[in-house]
Amino acid sequence: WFILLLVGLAAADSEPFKERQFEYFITNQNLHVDKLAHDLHELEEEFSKYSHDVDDKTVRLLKHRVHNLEGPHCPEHFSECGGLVPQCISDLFFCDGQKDCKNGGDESPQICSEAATHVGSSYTGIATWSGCEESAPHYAVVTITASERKDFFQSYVWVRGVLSFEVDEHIHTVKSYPLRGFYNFGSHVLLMGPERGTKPVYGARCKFNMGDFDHAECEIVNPESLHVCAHFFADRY
Amino acid sequence: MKILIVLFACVVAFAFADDCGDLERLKVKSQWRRAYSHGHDREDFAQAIWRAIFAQAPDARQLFTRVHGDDTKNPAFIAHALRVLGGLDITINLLDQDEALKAELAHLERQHKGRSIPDSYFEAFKTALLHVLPAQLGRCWDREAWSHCFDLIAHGIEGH
Repeated sequence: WFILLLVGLAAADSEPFKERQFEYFITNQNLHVDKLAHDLHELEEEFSKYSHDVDDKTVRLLKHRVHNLEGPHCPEHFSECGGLVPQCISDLFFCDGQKDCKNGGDESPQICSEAATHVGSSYTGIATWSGCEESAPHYAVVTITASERKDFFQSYVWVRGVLSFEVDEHIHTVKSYPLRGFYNFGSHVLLMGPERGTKPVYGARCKFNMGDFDHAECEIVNPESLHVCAHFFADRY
Repeated sequence: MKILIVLFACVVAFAFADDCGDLERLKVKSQWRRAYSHGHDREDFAQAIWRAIFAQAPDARQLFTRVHGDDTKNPAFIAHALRVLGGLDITINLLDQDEALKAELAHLERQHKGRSIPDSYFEAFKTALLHVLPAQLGRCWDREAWSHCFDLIAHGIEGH
């Protein structure tokens, strides 16, 4: 009888004890996890102190700058097909709907992007003059005002635009020159000379050689000799 | 009355001289020398012109079945395209030697006679040339001068 009572008491008493013991373990485990989290956080803090990964844009820019320094791979009037096997084809054959490169690179969507010629695009940078104009470095802007691509000759986009730059910082005199010319998909060059019937003073040449259509290396040139008067690195706005 | 007719004739002669005049001819000659180029570049220049022609007038390909007009990259067609530019080169270079130019145009007219080439094909050729040329030259070219002098050459070949 007594034994029976003991067993009964023990059974009644062991329930809350087990629960407490269970709670105890849980708390302990939580504390352990908290510590791990804390350690991990500290590790992350430590890690974030190191410099970040280089973004894709910078890598692309660097690759293109190295590529530009490697020198022209193709003769005049020719451009590269891209890809692993080097091949040059005529600038007259890019993006005309017929594959001329062995890898079809001359018709790839990236090469054939008309982004550079979108109406309203402005290419702006600080022009440093090496001739033609006696002026301190100042902003120069090339703006596309019209563009047309003929469906029977698609390798070139014919464009109209304006070149303007400030010649006096104090009274804000701005010179503008209406231009006309073209953009070629193969060479990624925007080449513009004086608009018909205007005095042939300046032309503009922008080379999109930095891997995208938002940055270009532009020159203000004499339209006849292509003598470089000024040079600027342009951003698109 | 006779004087009047003579006067009228002079005006007509002058009007003709205005189209592809002496100075325009010299301009076209020098610009052609820059565009006509050399080597592989010349082949591609010729081919670009023909692609632009066929893009405008697809039916014109039928006239060139003998020289594989269906594929402008075919060596036989490239040879043909270079022959055409060769003929154009002769006429342009003779623009300032009237007698020789007339003889060459008469020769080309005989070669094209009987092929029933519609005027629109010559127009397509002109449009093609007038677009590929500035692309090839890149700068400094005179569309009017080229238009005038091409018309002179094309009309000589058409015979009217």
